Amino acid sequence: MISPKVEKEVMRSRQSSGLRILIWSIFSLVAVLLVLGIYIMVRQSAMRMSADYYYPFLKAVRGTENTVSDQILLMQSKTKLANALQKLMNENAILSAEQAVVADLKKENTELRALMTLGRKDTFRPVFAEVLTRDPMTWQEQFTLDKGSRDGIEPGNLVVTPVYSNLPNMPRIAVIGKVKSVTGHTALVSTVLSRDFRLSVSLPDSKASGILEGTRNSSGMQATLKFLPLDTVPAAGQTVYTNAFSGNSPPGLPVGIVADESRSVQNPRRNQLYLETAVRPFESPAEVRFAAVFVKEKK
Amino acid sequence: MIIRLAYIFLLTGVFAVPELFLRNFGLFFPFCALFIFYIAVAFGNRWGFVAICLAALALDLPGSGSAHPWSVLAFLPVLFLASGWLKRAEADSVMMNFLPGLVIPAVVWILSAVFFSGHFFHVLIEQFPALFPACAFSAVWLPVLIFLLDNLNSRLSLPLFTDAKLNQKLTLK
Repeated sequence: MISPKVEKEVMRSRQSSGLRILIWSIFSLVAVLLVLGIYIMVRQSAMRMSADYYYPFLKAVRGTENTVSDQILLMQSKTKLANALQKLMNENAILSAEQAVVADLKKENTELRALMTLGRKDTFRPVFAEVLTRDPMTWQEQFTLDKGSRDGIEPGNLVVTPVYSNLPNMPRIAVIGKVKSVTGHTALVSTVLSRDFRLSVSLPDSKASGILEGTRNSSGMQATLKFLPLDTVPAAGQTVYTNAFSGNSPPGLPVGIVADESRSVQNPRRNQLYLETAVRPFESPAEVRFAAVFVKEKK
Repeated sequence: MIIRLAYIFLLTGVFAVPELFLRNFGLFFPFCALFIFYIAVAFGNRWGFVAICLAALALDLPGSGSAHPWSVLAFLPVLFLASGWLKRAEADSVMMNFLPGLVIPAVVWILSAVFFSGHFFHVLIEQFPALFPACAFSAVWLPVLIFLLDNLNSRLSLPLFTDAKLNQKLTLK
């Protein structure tokens, strides 16, 4: 039989041992964290000190290596050095040429892919063609395609080309000109910058229509949109589309954008009768290599 | 006469093809104009005019795609230049023909820009740098052309460029 006094003593001793374990655990944890912290600090310091300490030696080795390499290079004959330089220059030229070819192929691929997506538009079907000839005197204004009347092309048909640009919101294809004359195998195209070019176009944002004429202004890369109603507000950046008024071209094809107002024509109000503004085509006619001609299907 | 016509016809074609080919790359080398100069001096102005007509037909209709052979007008000064060169210049050496070789591209280039381009000043600015290599090339090419065609003509018993001055003097006497 245990007396209540002993029992009390035992209980107290059990409580104090639990408390001791808890205290030791906390102390151990703190000690471990402390040691870990010290280890990390020491490791970082040691690493930094070690790296800085060995830097001159490592640098000396590298420096010696470079010096020896340079001295060996200087000891070589001029002919050998010149040959090595020539070899490098040749390799550089080959790589540059390859890069240019790849860039050219990339552009050609993009253009052909854009043309492949082209389908029928109402009663118009596209006839795909490649630029056959150009003349330096009419480089921006005319080019000849390798398809003609045998493929159904007629004078007045609309010519579109892929637009190659990294800018956002650019259409994949855009109008570049109109067929001026055809032979059995060729078609002569007047571009949007040619004086022969005239096309009825619309500004959907302004709900206005006018005639686009290929009169190059001072910048050299802009056509003029004439006969717009006087109440039209052709804001810069507005896209100009074809309309169905002429009946010879599919409507809704992008042609160009209204040029910056500051660079527009000097006197936009002609005799207070109509308004005119400058339009920049999406693609430079000088860059065109592939095109599609929209030919009207005969019933 | 038929032999001369066939000769001019064939050689006009031979010189028109590389000229058209180079024009596709934006290069202006007047092979035909230099051939016209040769024909005008060696064969006379009438044959020179025949060469002009053939060259204009070959270059304008398939090349620049113009409705009319405007190059006839651009090539006409070459005919006058040939006459002037034959009458005035006392050049004993074939090499001296580098001078008309230098002048011909510039004359033809300016007149072509006038007759063909819709925007004369733009074309003038854009194409002006291409004129210098054209002049330099023509200055070298014309004496070479005279040498080559004179060799060919001597085999075909046709008039020679190098005899043109002598023939003219004999005719005047």
